[in-house]
Amino acid sequence: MNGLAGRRVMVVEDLFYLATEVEAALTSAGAEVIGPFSNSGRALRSLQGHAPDCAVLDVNLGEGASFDLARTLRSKSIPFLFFTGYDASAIPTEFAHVPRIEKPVTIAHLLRAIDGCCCCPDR
Amino acid sequence: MGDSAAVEEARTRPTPVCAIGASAGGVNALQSLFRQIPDNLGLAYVVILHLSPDQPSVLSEVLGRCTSMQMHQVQHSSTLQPNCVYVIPPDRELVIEADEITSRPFSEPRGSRAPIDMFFRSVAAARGDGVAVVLSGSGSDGALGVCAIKEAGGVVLVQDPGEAEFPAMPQNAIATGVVDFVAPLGRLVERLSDLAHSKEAVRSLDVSASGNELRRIINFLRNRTGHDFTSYKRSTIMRRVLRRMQVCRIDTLAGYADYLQATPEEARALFSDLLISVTMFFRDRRAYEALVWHAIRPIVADNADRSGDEGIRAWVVGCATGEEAYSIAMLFLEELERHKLHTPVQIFATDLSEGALATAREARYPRTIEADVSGQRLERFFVDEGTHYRVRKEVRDLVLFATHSVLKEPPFMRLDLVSCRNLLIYLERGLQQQLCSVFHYALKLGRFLFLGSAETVDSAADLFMPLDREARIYVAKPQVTQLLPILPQFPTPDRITDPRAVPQLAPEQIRTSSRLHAEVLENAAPPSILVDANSNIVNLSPTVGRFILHSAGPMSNLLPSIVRPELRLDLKLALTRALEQGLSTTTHPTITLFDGERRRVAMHVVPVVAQPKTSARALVFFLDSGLVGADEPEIQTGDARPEEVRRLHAELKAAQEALVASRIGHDATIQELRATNEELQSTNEEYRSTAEELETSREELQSINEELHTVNAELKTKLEHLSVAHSDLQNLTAATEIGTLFLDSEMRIKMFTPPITELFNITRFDIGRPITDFTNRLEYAALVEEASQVLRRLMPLEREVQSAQGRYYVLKMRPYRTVEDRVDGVVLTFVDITARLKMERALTLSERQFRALIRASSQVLYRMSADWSEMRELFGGGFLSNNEAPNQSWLEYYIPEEDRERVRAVIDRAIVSKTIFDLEHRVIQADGTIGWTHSRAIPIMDPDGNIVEWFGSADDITMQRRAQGAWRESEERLRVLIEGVPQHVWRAENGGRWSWSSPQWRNYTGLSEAESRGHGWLAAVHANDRDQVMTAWHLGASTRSFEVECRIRHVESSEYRWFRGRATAVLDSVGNLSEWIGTFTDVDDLRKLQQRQEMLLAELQHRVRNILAVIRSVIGRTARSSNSVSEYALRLDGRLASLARTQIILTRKPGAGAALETMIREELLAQAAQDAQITLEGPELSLSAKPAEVLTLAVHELATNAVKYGALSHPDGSVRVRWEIERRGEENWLRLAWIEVGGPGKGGPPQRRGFGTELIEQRVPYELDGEGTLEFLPGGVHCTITFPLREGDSILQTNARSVRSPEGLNP
Repeated sequence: MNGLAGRRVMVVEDLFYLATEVEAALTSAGAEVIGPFSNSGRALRSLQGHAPDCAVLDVNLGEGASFDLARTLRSKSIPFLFFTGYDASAIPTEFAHVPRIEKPVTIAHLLRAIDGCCCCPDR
Repeated sequence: MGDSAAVEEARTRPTPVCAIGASAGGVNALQSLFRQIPDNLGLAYVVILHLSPDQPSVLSEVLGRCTSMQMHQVQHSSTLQPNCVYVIPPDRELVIEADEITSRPFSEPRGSRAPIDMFFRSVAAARGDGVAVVLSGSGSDGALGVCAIKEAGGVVLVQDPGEAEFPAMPQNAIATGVVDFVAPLGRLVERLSDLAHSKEAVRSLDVSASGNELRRIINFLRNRTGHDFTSYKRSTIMRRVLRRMQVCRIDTLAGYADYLQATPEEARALFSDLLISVTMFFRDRRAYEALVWHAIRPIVADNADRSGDEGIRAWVVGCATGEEAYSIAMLFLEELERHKLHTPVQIFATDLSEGALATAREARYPRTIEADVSGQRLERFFVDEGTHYRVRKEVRDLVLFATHSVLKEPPFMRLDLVSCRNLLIYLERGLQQQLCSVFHYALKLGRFLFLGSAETVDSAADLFMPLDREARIYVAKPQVTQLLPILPQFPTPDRITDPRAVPQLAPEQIRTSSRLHAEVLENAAPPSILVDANSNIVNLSPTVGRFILHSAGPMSNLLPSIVRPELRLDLKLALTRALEQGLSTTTHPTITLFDGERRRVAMHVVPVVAQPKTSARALVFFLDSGLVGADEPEIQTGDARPEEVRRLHAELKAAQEALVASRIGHDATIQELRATNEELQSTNEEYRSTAEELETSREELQSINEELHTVNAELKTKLEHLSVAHSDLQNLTAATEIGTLFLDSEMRIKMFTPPITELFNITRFDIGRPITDFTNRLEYAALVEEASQVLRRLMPLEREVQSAQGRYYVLKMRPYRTVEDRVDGVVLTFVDITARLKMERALTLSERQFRALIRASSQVLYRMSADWSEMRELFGGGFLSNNEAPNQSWLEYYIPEEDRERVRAVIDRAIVSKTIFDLEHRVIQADGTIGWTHSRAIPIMDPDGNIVEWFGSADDITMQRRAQGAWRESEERLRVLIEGVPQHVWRAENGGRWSWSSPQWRNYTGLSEAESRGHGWLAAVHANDRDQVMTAWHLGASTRSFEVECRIRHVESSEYRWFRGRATAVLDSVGNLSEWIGTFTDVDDLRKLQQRQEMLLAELQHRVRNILAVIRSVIGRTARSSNSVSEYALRLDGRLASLARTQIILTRKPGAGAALETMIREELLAQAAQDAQITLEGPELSLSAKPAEVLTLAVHELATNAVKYGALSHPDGSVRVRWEIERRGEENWLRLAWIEVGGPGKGGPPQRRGFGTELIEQRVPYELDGEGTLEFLPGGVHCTITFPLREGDSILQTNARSVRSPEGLNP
């Protein structure tokens, strides 16, 4: 769990409660949270600066499913995982290999997944 | 002489007939004759030739070229016309009656036919005159005929045998002695012309007025010949005289009488004409009756007594044509029959005339003999052969005919009866006497002589004694000596005395003195005997008898044998000298014993000087020298040398005794010779009999020879025709394509036509070799065997044979029949029928197939008469009952009554127009029910275009008719269905080429039926989908199914809608794809719903999971802000309830927003707030999901707080909620203010930041991009929340924005 320490983790989650929880958990795990962002526009703007080590993305940011951000992350080789209420069918095939954490999930579970994603991006 | 009715008939003046008979060589003679005969003689010529019965005769054609006279072949009967020629047809004989000439079949078997005789006789009988001409020929046909002609008064002409190619026939005619002229043809024609003219003259003579001339002629004849014809019938004599006149070409009787006197030959000719003898059966009936009584009966009776004898023998002398001989034979037969005896009877019948004998042997007599022969005898002894009678063989066998001259030749011996009638009358008395001696010698003692009514034996009364003077029956007297009488010395005795001899008779005076001298000489001279050259006694002097001493044995005439024995030796020597050397001899006296007297007798033998015509003779004188004394020595001159004399005497005596002994031996030898002679006589008779049979055979042969010669003559004429025919045959053989092979009975090749060489390996050099030697190219092993079989059974045979080359032939084998219907081999013909056979086979097959087709057909087939009145045949095919016999009432039988008129009307139209009858109509089926049929019939025409009959067929369309109705209904239903269904229906060929489309398609796409055809329909398909559609078609070709979804343009809205296309392959009976039937179904709405549903589901997942995540957070945050469990429970319950309400509102209906006012009111009311304490102000507004959720929870928190601590906790407190929409830049913002009034006033912000605060102050900005302020004032809380109103905030409104699915969601 300590792998997150010092890591810059971008959180993109439109739900305030979830976003704050994830932020809190990451922060407590020693990670630096970029965001959280409630929409992809803000997240994209943040990416123009210092790039995170990894990212947690909700697929639906209140405007329907959107994968523009995912594509940008991929182009920047930033590992990420989907944190979503959709099941696998809603994920485009191009992102089939992206780790996916389906809501609802415990924070601990989420953190482990983020840890895995950030530490071992090639997995 | 026979009677004839001809004199009377001559008056009727029928056409004079010239009958011409010819045989071998006759054709040439006839041609020559007719070339020379003038065509105006007024004669009708009848030509009789020996024609072959099997060949048609061309004689009339041959002769027709030689004369201008008309030619007739007498096929049946013709009336004679002057200057016409009538020719005998083959195998017929001709007879004439009045002027009618008739041909009829031969009554005689081949070999004994004598058509010339037949016709000549017929002419003689019918005409009493006429001219007969006998030309070249072999045999004797015509000989009898000319006799008849002559007897009847006709004239007979004969071709010179020297000129004739075959002289036998003329010679035989001449031999009858009745021929008037013998000359070469040229002269004959002249004579014929003369005859024709003189005949005319003679015919016009007044016979009755010429009595004097006739008497003069008869007198002259009596003077000349000594025969008095006065008592003969005048008509007969007249006829003969007239005939002679014709012959001599003298026109008047007076003229003839003069001619007769001037010409001695004519007297003889007339005499001989008059003497033509014709006898008849039982001539002088009374005489025959007497003969039976006096002669026949005794003879038969005697022979009955003596068994084993030689039988009865009789001799008919001068038998002529045999009637008398047969008459006597019949009498004997009758008599024998009466006594039931079988004694053999032999009758010798002789005559000089061969011609007459031939007739006699033939034994054919004209019907006129009915007058002479009783009916009983006719039946008993004759065979009725139509035109004539023939003596039965039984009688003929008894009679042996032979040529014999009774005057020249030895007679038959040991006879019981001699019949010699009407011969003696022609003879001189001396000759008569000699004949009587002959007859006497020939007859057995006491047997009988039968003479003609005008004859007697008075000249030989010592030999015969009359039994019945009237009937001229005599019996032979017993005689001491039965010596063969001395036959007349005439070398060629004639029946008649030569008239020229008459004047040589000595005058009476000379005869008288000579006799006186002879008598004196006789008395004066010593006894003497005249002997002939054979020493036979010719005459004795009156006193010579004592020198004769006949020894025992038969009477002899030979002088040296009957003179006294002592004289015999010397006499014999002396006679020899006299007869042979002509020397006179006087013998030494010899002592001769005369009744005990011993006398010396010397003999003087003088040869008589031979006169011409006589042979040597000798005269013997006996000189008696007186008695010898008893003691007188025999030799008186023995004195000189007595001893020697005595010795000589003794020797002489011994020699004499030896001589006597040898003489006795000699006599015995003579006896034996005599016996031998008799045997030879018998043998001679037998030879005669044999000779006669040979004669008969010879005649038959000759007759056949005749025919052969005639045939030969005709054959020569025909030979040209034959050679033409032969060359025709050769050409035919060469040209024919029919192989013909002639085999003989040994299977040897006789002839063949060229096509045969294709089948047999033979060439023309192989003719004559057996066919079995050659190979053939036929697949027919039994050829030879079957050919032999044809030969054996004589049944024609027909085979189809195949050659090795695969050609087919009809082989016909039939017996080779010659023209004579004799089988001589086999004829094989090969007709190439390959082509025909192939056709036939094809035809047969076709016919069989056709028959099978008819049998197999379920169709009705029928034939109708031309006017349909009759059904000839109907084959019902199980549908209608069969009709095999013609049926007139077929209409009633097959057609229901109410339809008959209609059917008949159509038929009548077809008959009139001669076109096809074609009608569907009802019929009565085989089972009696009514069915439907489709009937067609075609008229069959003859070449003239008339209908011969109709041939038709009819189908059973009963089921079809029923199905048709059902099908129409079904089709209508289907059409309604197809046009009613929402799908577009179409039909297509493989590859998607449409062939049909339903109206719905056309309406929807605006494409017409034609435009949609083929691939035209693709125009309505969205361009992007066309490839996919075509791919589906390609796939469908193998999978046999087509399924695709594509967009199709709606013509009115120009919009594309989604359609599902489906098609099913329609397979034919063998599984091949024949077409597709398919539909396009509008699935556009369905697709949209599906997409929406999928999106809803994803949203629901998303939402539910987010809610759960929110709830978790709410639970956690609530827990952290609660002081107690109860508080925690209460708060949590309230917050969850609020969440629930929001969800309820939001999910109430799709696309609906949450009505702001309602939402706030419900939240307040849920907190048990009083309606009066609440004021809600603001425009009607519905919020999307997220603002609604956030705002509702915020209201809940505010209300809870207000109820607990704020304005609502105080009864006077009130809460005013006011909202409005602000324009900020591009967006509309909602500004909602919560303002509490009248709260307890304890106010102040809470100690710690609570759930609500966080919600309003942090969450609103985070989630809604808005602002939230919260002020805790004494009257209560004032809260302001502002945020941009953005569409799509409701989950249920996500679809409303676009048809496109959200990215990441699969359609």
